[in-house]
Amino acid sequence: MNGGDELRDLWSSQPPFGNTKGEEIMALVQRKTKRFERMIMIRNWTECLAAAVVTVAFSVLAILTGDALTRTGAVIVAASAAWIIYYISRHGKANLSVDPSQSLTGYTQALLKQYDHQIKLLRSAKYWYLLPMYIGLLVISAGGLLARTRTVGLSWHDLGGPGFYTAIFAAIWWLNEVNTVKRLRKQRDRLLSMTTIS
Amino acid sequence: MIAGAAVEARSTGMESRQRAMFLRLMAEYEPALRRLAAAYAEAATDRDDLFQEIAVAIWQAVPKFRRESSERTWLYRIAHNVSISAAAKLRRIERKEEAMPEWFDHASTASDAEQALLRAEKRRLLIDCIRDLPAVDRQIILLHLEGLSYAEIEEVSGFSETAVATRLSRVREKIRQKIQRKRVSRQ
Repeated sequence: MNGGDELRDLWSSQPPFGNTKGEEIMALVQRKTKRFERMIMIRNWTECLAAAVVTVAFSVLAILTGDALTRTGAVIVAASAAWIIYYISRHGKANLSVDPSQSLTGYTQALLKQYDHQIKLLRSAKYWYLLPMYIGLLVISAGGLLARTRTVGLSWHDLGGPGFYTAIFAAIWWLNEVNTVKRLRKQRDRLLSMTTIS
Repeated sequence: MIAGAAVEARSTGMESRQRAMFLRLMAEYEPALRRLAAAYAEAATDRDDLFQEIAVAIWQAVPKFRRESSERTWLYRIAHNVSISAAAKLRRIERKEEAMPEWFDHASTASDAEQALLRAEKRRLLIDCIRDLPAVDRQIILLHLEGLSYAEIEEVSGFSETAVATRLSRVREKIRQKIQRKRVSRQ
């Protein structure tokens, strides 16, 4: 079983895998490529639209509100949404595709670099994504709570809003920094162990 | 307007060349690419997905092919690189070491049907052993099994011919030992 030729015989004696027509494969490939491009386009548009909605909504709030603290918070949130889109477009899509026609070493290095970049981006999401918007919302809440203190007084119900968005932000933080980073690290380690030359 | 039409005609020409080259490559290499996918992914759906991923990568790479290397080595380089990154993403399913069937060592007394089963079992074992190899070794042995010369393997993997020869003999030995261990575990 250790002879190269016997291994080769065994290998080439595999029953023919698939007999798909070239045209069918090409149709499938084109479908997949188009679907992928459409998915990326939809994702980009969704991101931009969401950011635009947040920016417009909080800009309107900043204009309409009479409270200085609420206005400050609204301006922070509006600016944060625009900042997030800028940051993602500037840093998020770097090295999206790695040329697979290079040598294994070059390809592995490029993939590792890509993993590191994604991990770094996700680990820092709390600073560039969550924190600015969270601070803005906290300032808005502080404005609202202070206004209520002056008029009807505070109750436990008033903490519902801040509690709700804090939970949402905590969930986003967990998904990014704990869950996704853990998955990416595992993939990175697996790639490294697969390609390490002994 | 004329410039626009010229650009359109050129892009149509490029696309038809891309189509022609892709179809030719698939006609020639589909079985080899599917065998390669099987050496990286165990489940049938994963193998199919991987083959499709390789096909997509080849389709996208065709317009950038500059004939700096042979078509065959260029294609295998893409296929292996895509397979490696896909294998890193796949959740590794721990397989229990399976004992070899009783008839594995008794080929001489086996009937034709048993012979066929024996050969299929040996093949399965070989593929299992290849799947367990590190990517570099896996790449080298697969290219060798697909009939590439040492020079072509050098072109794909980036290792010198001497290094390829050394690694290949070590990989063969590894496979032999693995098969041996499976036999021992049965006894």
